[in-house]
This record gives sequence, structure tokens and C-alpha cells, in this order.
Amino acid sequence: MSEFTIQARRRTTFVVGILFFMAAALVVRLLDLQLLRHDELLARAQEVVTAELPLRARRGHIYDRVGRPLALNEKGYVLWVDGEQFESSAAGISLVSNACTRQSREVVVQLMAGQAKGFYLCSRWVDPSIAEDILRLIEAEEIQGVIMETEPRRIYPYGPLLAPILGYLQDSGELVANDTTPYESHGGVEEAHDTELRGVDGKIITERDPQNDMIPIGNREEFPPRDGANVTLTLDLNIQYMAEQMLSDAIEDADARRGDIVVLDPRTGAILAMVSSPSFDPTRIAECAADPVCAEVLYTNPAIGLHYEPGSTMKIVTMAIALEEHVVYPEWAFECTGLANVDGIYFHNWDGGSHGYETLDQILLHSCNVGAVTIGQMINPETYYGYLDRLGFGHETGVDLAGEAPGYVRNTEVEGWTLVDQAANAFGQAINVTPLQLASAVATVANGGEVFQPYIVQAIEQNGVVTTTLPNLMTRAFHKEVCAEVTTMLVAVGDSKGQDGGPLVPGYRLALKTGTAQIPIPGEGYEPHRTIASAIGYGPADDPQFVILVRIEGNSVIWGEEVAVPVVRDLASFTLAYLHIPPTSE
Amino acid sequence: MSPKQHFKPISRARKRRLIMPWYFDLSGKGLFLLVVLAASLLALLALAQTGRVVSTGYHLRELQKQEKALLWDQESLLSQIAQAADPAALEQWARDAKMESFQPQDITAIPLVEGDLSQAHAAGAIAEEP
Repeated sequence: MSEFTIQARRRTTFVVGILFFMAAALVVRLLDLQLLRHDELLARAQEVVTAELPLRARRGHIYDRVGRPLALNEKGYVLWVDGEQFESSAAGISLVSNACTRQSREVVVQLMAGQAKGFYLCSRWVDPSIAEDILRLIEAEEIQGVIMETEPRRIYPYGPLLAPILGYLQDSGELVANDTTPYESHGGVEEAHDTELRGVDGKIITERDPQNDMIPIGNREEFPPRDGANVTLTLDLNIQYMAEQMLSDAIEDADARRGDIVVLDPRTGAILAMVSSPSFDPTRIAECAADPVCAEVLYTNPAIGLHYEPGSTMKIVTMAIALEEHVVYPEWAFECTGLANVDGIYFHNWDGGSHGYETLDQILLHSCNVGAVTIGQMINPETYYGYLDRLGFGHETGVDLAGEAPGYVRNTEVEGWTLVDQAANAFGQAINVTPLQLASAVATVANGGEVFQPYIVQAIEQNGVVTTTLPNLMTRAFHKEVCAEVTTMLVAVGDSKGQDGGPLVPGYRLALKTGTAQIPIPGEGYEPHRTIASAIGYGPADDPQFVILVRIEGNSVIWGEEVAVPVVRDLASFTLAYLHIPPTSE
Repeated sequence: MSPKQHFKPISRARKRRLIMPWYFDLSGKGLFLLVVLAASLLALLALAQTGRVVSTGYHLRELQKQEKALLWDQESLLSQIAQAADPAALEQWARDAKMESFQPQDITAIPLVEGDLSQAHAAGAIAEEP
């Protein structure tokens, strides 16, 4: 082989080797790009060429039982300014600077001078008329560097009237330009039915140009949002309004701190009205949170979350249990000596006196504590607390509202329980109940002994499909005859507590019981000059269609019937007329 | 039938040449012009399709905008309904019109026997037909 041939072969091998290595390097690089880092690089590429536009699902509406809107959405405007891009005419500067309420004066001056950097949230929410003016200037290209986003804004047309029941919405997390703002729901129906009301957000994934505009014929994938369901409540706006008016007046007249009203339909457990006063404005949450009195209502719906000692209204329950267990009979009479001794503890009557011989209806009529204690002691403790448990005391009723408290019953299973507890419980002391628990228990007596779970959502409508809530009969606590006997006794009370000592509402047989409880001060006993006045009534006695519970807390008038009974009377009178309930036939 | 008998490519090409002689007689320029013409036609077709896609997309987006606007209108109308149903405003309106509260005693109950409405007519609870 010649020298030339050998050299040529070497060179060829060398060149082929280099080419081979180059090809190998290319293959390795290709493997790296196409296989090993495929997902990462694809994601980076898509990030550059695609834009993801969020589509906020419309939150469902809330209606009252006849379809009056209680919670809606309106078009809200959010104003952002890009510090580096901002340029505007004098009119635009004036509009934007006035609308820029979220930033300090110094920042606004910097923004208007184009000296700030980054995006600044100027306002949430901008007044619609000002927003329209700014949008016109943006369209006429008189302003640059301003983003006006539209987002649904929750509105509550009746504000404080329904705030504790409906709850409210609050932004969660940071607000970001060109993105929807996450939010949380707090309290009431908004929180309890958040999943149904919220819906599911959607998005559009589309190709974009360097100016961040969508390319009309580019790839586009749309995932439409699924709007939230509309919720219809059992609540009646008119009864709610009248209850609120009467409660506010009563609180003012009695110089009280606060109060609640619950109106139930005893035939189903449906809540017709639930009022707390004072209330809060669901559109001014920050202001309310800063005020300790207002904050209490903000974080608790008092009608289901703030328990109290029910006082004499609890005698209804004690009497029904005693009759059901046949430990007493309606014709029996007891001697009320004005003093009852239980395990060395003495119980007195509310007036400190003795009432002599009293029948069962007289015990309720005169609200005799000693009589209630005596009857209470005749019931086996386990049996007594079994009834309280079945009636919903000591645990949540399961109402479909957020923030329910269980209350507290010191029963035989609790260490340290004595007969004194049962004696006190018999006339509504040493037991904590919520207004809804008591209203629900009395509704059981009103409807003939059936325990219904209270509920507030009547129907949920999603895409035309309506799911109706059926009354949930939990158990039967009393026989009909027992309930009728207790009702007769309570009608005797109602017939003497109207104006001039007559019937509560002339022409109607209405059941009534009043109660007065002391306000405990932790570690210091009870408040000396203020009480919790309560009254509970239902009617018409032969076919009860409503139960009304009134609780007025911290009033300066000591006795419950002076404060709470007029509210029950007026509200019952309104409800009878409003529901077109005819007078009781003779 | 054998494959040889079935496929006769040369004879077929010859036939085609006889059917479309102008095509095979085209000069280079002619062929170029024909290709350009065909490409233009194809481009036009593609453009027309693209145009249709774009206009449909635009129409779709317009409809979506309208749907959105209608939903906002619905919200706004519901808000007006809420204002109109405001019990406080209604109460004020009734007071201004010197109306009186309806009392339960004002209710007249007329027991009806099924199929016999004469009692109700007599009481004026049901309007007589003109």
C-alpha cells in the first residue's frame, strides 16, 4: 500500500470520526431536548406563546321563599395602573387620581407622573359611572397604562336585615392584575352552601402575539365555567322585615343590648324568619370587624350560635316530658310553698312568694319555679335527659347554616351531675340552649310531638334542575294527646297576656310562655339589674302554622313578659294576617 | 387474470397522452404559469376557509359578549326587582298613600263545600262574570 493511500485512509478515518462525533453530539442533544427535557421545554414554549384567561363562574343567587332576590352579583370595576406605562390627558389624570382610593396620596402623585414601577391596585370597587368614563378614555386612547377589569361583585339588597343568615364574602389571597380574585365565604347560607353557590371556574387557553393579544386563528381551547346554583330559602322577606322592625323597637324601648327572633313552621321545621339586632352591613366588613360589638354578630349568627339560659320557657318542655311519662296528670294539683329543697339547695319562685295549690296549667300560667322543680324531680333523670337529647338540646340541630353552637346540657353522664342540676334545668337554669334549639323543641309540642330538623334551604336550582328539600322528621318525642294538653295550658297563658289582660290576638287561640333569665358574669355571679327576657308562642293552637321565639338580652326592664310578649303579640298578629289564617271558629 | 394482463402502465400513459395532448405539449413557461395559477387557486381556497373560520370565531366571540352583557342585564334587573320588593320602601309608600295595616280580624273566612260556590258568590268573595 502506497504512502498516499495510507495517508488518505487516515484522513478519511479522521474526518469520518469527527463527523461521527458531531452526529453523536447532535443525537445526544436531540435526545436531551426531545426526550429528557421535553415536558419542561414544551411548558416553557407554551408559556411564551399561550395565554390563560380565567373565566369566573357566576355565583348563584339566593332568593326568599317567593323568589325575591336576597343575594345577587353586580358588575364590579377594579382599577389597576401600570406605573411605567401610565400616560394620560389632564381629564384622565383627574379621573384616575380621584378613583385611586387604595393608594396613599404620595403613591398616586408618583403614578400620575409616570414615576412608579409595577402594577398598582388603585380601587376595588370603582363607582360604575366613573368606571364608564375611564373606559371611554381608554377606548379613545387618551389613557395608557390603565387596566379596568370587571369582576362580579356580591350585593345584598337588604343589607343588615339578612346579614347574619346570609353571611358574606371576603377576598382571600392577593389581588393580581389580569386574574380573577379568589374569595372565601363566611357564615350563614353563603358558607354552608358554598360548594353549590360557587360553581366551577373555567379558562381559555389561547395563542398570543408579542403584544399579548389573542391570535384569532391560533389554537384556542375553552373550558367554560359552570355557574353556581341558585338557592331558594324558606325565609319570608316580609315576616323577616316586620320581625326586625319590632325587635329593634323593643330593644330601644327596653334599653336592651341586643335581641333575636326565630320564626319556624312547626309542621316542617322550615325557618320563616331569623332576626338578630344589632346586625352588620355585609358590604362593610372591615368597619364591623374593628368594632367589638359588631364583630360579635359578624363571626356568630346569634340565633344559632349564641346560647343562653332559657328560663321559664323551658317549663313547656318539662311539662310535656312529665305528662308523656305519666308522672303527672292534667287534673293534678301541687302545693306551691314558695320553696323547694333539693339536696340542701333551696329553689324559690320568681316573685319570692308562694302560690298555694296549683293545677298544672296554673303552674305554667303563674310560671311557678317550685312547681316545675317538683314535677322535674318526679321524672327519672336518665329519661329526662334522653328527652332533652331527642329534642335537640346539647348538640347541633343540623340546620343548614354555618356557625351553629351545640349549647350545653349537664346531664347524668357528666361528672359532678346532681339532682340539683335537673331541678334547675326544669325551669330553664343551668342549661344553655340556642334560640333555634328552643324554638325547634317547642315546635315539636306545637305539631303534636314530631321532631323536625330545622332547615332554611327550600330548593337548589342548577341548570334548570330543581332539588327540593323535604322536611326531615328525626323522631317522635311526644304523643299527640300530650301535646294537645300542653297546648291547652299554654293557650290559657296566651289568653291572659294580650292587651288589657285579654287574648294575645283577639279571635285566635295562641299558645304562649314567657321567660326571664339572669345574665351570668364569668366568676362574679349574675348581672344585678339586667336580664334576658324571652317569650315563645305558637298558633293557631288547633293547627299551628308558626312558632315565634323572642329573646331580648340585657334589658333594664326586669321581667320577660313586659319586654318580649308585646313583640310576640305584634308579630303573631302580623303573621296571622299575612298568612291569611282565619280566626279560630268558636 | 394474471398481474401482467391487468397492469399495463405504458399503454395507459400512452392513452393519457392521447386524451390530454395539450398538457404534455406545454412548454416550461406554460407549465410554470399553470402551477402558479393552481397555487393561487389553492391559496384563495385556503384564504376563504381561513376567512370563514375567523368570521365564525368573531361571531362566536360577539355572541359570548352578548351573553355576558345579557347576564349582567339580568343581574341588574334582579337588583331592580329587589329594590321594588324592599319591604321598607313598600311600607313607606303605603304610609304615604294613607293605607292601614291589615289586621287578622279583617280576614273573612268562607268555608267552601266542594262544587258549591254559591255561598262564596253571595258573600262577594268571587266576582261574578260580566
